[in-house]
Amino acid sequence: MTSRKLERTLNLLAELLNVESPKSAEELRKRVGMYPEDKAAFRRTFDRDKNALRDMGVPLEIIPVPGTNPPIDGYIINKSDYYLDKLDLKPSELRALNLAISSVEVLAGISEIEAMRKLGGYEESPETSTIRVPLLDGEYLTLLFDAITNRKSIKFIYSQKNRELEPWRLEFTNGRWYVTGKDSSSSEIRTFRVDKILGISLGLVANEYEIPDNPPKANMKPWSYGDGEKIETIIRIDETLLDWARTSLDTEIELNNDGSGIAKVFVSNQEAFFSRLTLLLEHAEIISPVEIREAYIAYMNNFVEVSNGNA
Amino acid sequence: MGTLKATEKLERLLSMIPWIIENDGPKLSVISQRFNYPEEHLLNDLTKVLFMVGPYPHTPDTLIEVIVEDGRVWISQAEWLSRPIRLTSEQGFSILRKAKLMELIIGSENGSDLKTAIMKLESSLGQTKKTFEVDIPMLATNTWSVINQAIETKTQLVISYYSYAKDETSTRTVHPAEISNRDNNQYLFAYCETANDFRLFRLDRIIDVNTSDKAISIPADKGEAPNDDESWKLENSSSLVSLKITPEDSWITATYPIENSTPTDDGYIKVDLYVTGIAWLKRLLIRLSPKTEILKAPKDIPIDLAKITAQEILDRYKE
Repeated sequence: MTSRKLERTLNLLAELLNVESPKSAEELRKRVGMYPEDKAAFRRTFDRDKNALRDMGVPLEIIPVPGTNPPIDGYIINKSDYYLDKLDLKPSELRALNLAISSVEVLAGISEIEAMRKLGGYEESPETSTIRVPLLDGEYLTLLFDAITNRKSIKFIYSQKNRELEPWRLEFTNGRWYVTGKDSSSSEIRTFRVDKILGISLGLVANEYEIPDNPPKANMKPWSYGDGEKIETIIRIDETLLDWARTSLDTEIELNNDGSGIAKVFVSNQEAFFSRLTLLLEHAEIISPVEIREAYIAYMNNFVEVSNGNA
Repeated sequence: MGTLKATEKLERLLSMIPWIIENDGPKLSVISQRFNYPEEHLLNDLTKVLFMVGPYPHTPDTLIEVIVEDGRVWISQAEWLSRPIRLTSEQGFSILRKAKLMELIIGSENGSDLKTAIMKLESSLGQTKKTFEVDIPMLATNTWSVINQAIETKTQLVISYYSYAKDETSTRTVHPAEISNRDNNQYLFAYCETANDFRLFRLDRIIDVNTSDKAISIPADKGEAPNDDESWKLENSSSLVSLKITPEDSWITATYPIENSTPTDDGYIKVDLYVTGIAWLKRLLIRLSPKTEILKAPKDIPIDLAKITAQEILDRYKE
């Protein structure tokens, strides 16, 4: 029974990949020749076969059969959408990919084994130890990936606003997924947190826009947003908080001989910068420029003075 | 290898056929292993099923030709199946993500197999312009690899840990269970001997980590590592604090777990929230308006904590 179904579905695929124009269900029934004569039974079996192909990622299209009126649904596979590009992976490259697949374990990730078979076969690498990478999966990641692959614009809701974006770059950074692209209405470059995106839909037309070379990275530094001049600011950070400062200020830190570190950031929005710097408590000190150092002292003095006033 | 369903067979055949065509008579046993297809089914499906497949009119010149000789397989007249189905977005995303993670972990020089494989994949997936990147700086650190190794070998660790809530550093012996992602950070989830319970340690606050030669041994009454979110404790038990905040600071009600929030008669908001340590509250207070007041707090938290905190910071700026 299974063999028959396998043979029939393969023959259906053979038709769909070899015809030049869309064929109606009835034509396909005749050409494949393995379907039941009974109309209802045929329809059920045909639908199951179509679904099996679609589930595997076969891009089965339905378009009207030319010259029919009223139009009759015709089926065809667009060959350029069906076939995998010739990757020409060398055996050693395939092995390197297989090693990555079997030694990196991603929480809540899908299995890549089926995909590796398409690339030339899956081989387990039993010698290697597993590296667990906790990477949260967002609901829309593959949709966004697809949109970028096919250069399709997207519509979604973000902070209760409708947005339209040409997505350029999808990245995991600072513990979250972000998508950066050109906002279609304002033409500005914007970054959105994927986990806050709601109700995404992809445009129907592929290759709608161009992605520039090296599209900008997600901007994770709230103090760099703003119209103000970018002021180079130097901070000294105590040894105990270096790693943490590196992630929360998102910058490289130069080490001093005494174990403390020096960070350099560019500040356009002073308020946002202070808000982040306060997290380091007394373990950090603004060294320069004098005006930002003085402004921070004044900001802190507000707390001392108000409390004095209350007392 | 168990029995495969028809759809599984179909999927694997479509991936396998291009590979057979390209590899000039590979052995049945090799194909079977590489595509996880039981050998007896493979022989049957190649010679009895695939042999009968082809487009209309199913004449010998259109049907696929399969030759099996001395345990080796050749396929011809299958031009239309000589390339696999393209990767779905999900598959492409997933493979590229793992390949890039691996690149972060082991590092990858120009020209290495992993690097060139990634470039070929990116090109096929339309992602050549640095449109898909994964960045987890912790992955390239010593902390990550030492912890990962200890989890793998089930050995204890001695860590030097900076507590955000208490603003102090302590040395603890821990029995690692797993590395996990919570909020937007990576944590080590481990049984801590100091706390005598399971705790989460944020990786970027682990200042130093060393393996000990002792195997993991968690007291029996602590049982298995709890995996229920609720039972994960970031720090020691927390205490309830009441604050009077200005309306401009109402953002904290959306950012922190607030127990109660009520408007006051004079236009302020009273919020009750659990704080996990004084240092945590210090950081919150100096990000809020100086007009914020502590209405109620446990005895060890001074009412003028904001002023004390600001003064400590100002002391650092004294000439």
